[in-house]
Amino acid sequence: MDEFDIGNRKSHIRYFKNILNVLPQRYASLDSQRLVIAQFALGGLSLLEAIDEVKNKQEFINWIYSLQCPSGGFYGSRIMKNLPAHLAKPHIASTFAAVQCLILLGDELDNIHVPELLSWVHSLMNPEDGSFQGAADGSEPTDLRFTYCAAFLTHLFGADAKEFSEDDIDNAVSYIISCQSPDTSFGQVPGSEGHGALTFCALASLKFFGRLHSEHGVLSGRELRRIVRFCVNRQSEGIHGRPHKPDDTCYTFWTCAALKLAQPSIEISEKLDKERVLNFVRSCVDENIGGIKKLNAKNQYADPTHSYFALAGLGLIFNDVIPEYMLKKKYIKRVLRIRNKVKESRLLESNEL
Amino acid sequence: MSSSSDDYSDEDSYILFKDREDWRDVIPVNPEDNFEHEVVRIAYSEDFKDCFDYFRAICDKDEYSERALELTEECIKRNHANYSVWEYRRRILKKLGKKLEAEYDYTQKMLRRHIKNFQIWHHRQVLCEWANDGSREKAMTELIFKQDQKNYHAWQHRQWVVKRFGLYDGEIDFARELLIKDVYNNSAWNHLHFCIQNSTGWTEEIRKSEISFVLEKLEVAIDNECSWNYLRAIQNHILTANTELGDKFVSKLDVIEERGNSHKHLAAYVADYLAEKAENDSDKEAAEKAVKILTELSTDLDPIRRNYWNYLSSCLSAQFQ
Repeated sequence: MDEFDIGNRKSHIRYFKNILNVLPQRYASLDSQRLVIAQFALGGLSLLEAIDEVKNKQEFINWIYSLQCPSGGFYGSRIMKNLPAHLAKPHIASTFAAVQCLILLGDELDNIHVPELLSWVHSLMNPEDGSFQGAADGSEPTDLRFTYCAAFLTHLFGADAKEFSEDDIDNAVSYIISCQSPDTSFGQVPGSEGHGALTFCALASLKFFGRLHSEHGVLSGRELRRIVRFCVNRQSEGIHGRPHKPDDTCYTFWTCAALKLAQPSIEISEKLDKERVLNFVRSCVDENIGGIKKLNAKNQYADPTHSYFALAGLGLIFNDVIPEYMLKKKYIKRVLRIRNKVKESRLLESNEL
Repeated sequence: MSSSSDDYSDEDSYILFKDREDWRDVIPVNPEDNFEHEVVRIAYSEDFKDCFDYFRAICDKDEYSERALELTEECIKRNHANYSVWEYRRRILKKLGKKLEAEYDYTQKMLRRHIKNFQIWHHRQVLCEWANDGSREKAMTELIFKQDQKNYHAWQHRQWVVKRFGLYDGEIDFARELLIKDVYNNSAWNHLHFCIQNSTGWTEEIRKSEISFVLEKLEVAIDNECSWNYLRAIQNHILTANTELGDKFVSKLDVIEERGNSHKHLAAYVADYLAEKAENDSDKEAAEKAVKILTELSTDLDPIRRNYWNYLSSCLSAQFQ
């Protein structure tokens, strides 16, 4: 991997560590998705090779598991958990974030209730159109972001045919395809405007479902080349998500990850001007508190989302992040080992039965 | 990041629930399983804690009342992304058999403040389902477009309403008018495609008239990626399906003497058209010409993507060696 430098590493580390500690009151609207914020902060530290700055890893892990719902999935925070059973609903984005955090903290995922988790994910699927909702009973809408989370979880925990049948996967895949917009990128729901982030969600989900670049691939070579064109056109200096929208640091990840997934054999820097992307991200560094802002504007502060995705995007462009996993390369071996381990232990269990 | 918490902090007259006469019968619930090493804590204000302690209390009691409805409003003010509060609010509305008029007003007010919040938009959609009525949604989304004409949620909502309640009348004109105001509005281009796709469908006649429309728009702005994408989309991305059009662009590019950055999409279209032609008919001459244009894209017209254009040109050259 080539190194990249976005300035004061120490101040970025401090920024992410502060997030893990206490957020000011103005962040109260993030209260229901605190696991997601934790993922951004830990992910940021991992990208800065500073994960060991996190002390008390075991307590952190315990906190995450304390948010697990016995019948599958994770709550985003205590406030979502401490409600009567009919109202407390785990969320698929929190669950994705919980698993990411556990991986980054070196946990072996032994305490995940795997069968419960998978049947819960399955229950979030709408059998009519193959879409996934974020939380049960319509308390959250359905869209392609949640399909991505579902695809990651079913891939990692090795859903078997009883949990996710071929028909279920076909159904989920046809929903993804129905979100393809006229310009060949993907939107949030069928009909909506194509967008870098949703294009990532679509391609990464197809990858996890084994329907991208495989004998079961559902997008033709021509279509993939058109998607490449859409993504490549998203650079003006930095990267944006839709035609004629301003560059925004978080799309450094989303759009570039979609680009990489559409054509994995070719490095991103063979298609985009990586120095310009790097310069744009550098210009968005928050000089006061560390971290990265959405845009290069004076009245803005860094925020966890843009800080994380900007770094993940650079990691990707500099060839050190695997897009569909949103993780640095060095974690993938362990992720795949865990995946095999889960598979074997479940096989063993079913044989014992 | 939202700054919604600033909306209410100055309200001097605000009374905490614990100090309200009509809430004296309720014991707030503050679960003390405080994790010693809790991560990403939030420095809640006193009124935030107060609201949610009472929220847990009414949920535990399974109370569906006017005061509970008011409480959910205070909770939502403090965290409009808490989907469980919204869910509870909906149950209260149902159980009390509330008229939805006030709720429509309330969500509209909330949406104008928090135009990117997923939960409020979702709530609005549920309301329309309940009332089986999408008649005010077009006007409502237009208010949002005044704030942000590319707001993703508002477009998604509008499309949902149009499709769900069959409100296609006037939609094509609506999209066209937006494009007259701003030809670079990609959301409007997408909506135009969506409306045709789901109403008249792509008949040959419509395709023709849409091609004329987009050609007009290209006269206004030749550099507009949205117009070119639309033109490609209505031909299902098969550019050789309309050779008359393709050849017209080839000549158009030929006669431009001072080609620059604003011609990159025209050049890309022509290169794609010629490459497709070369592939279909093993036409070496077309391939050579396409390579030449791709090279020009990489050197002069669109150097930021020079690597990409070079890559395409080398693929094509290799194919026709």
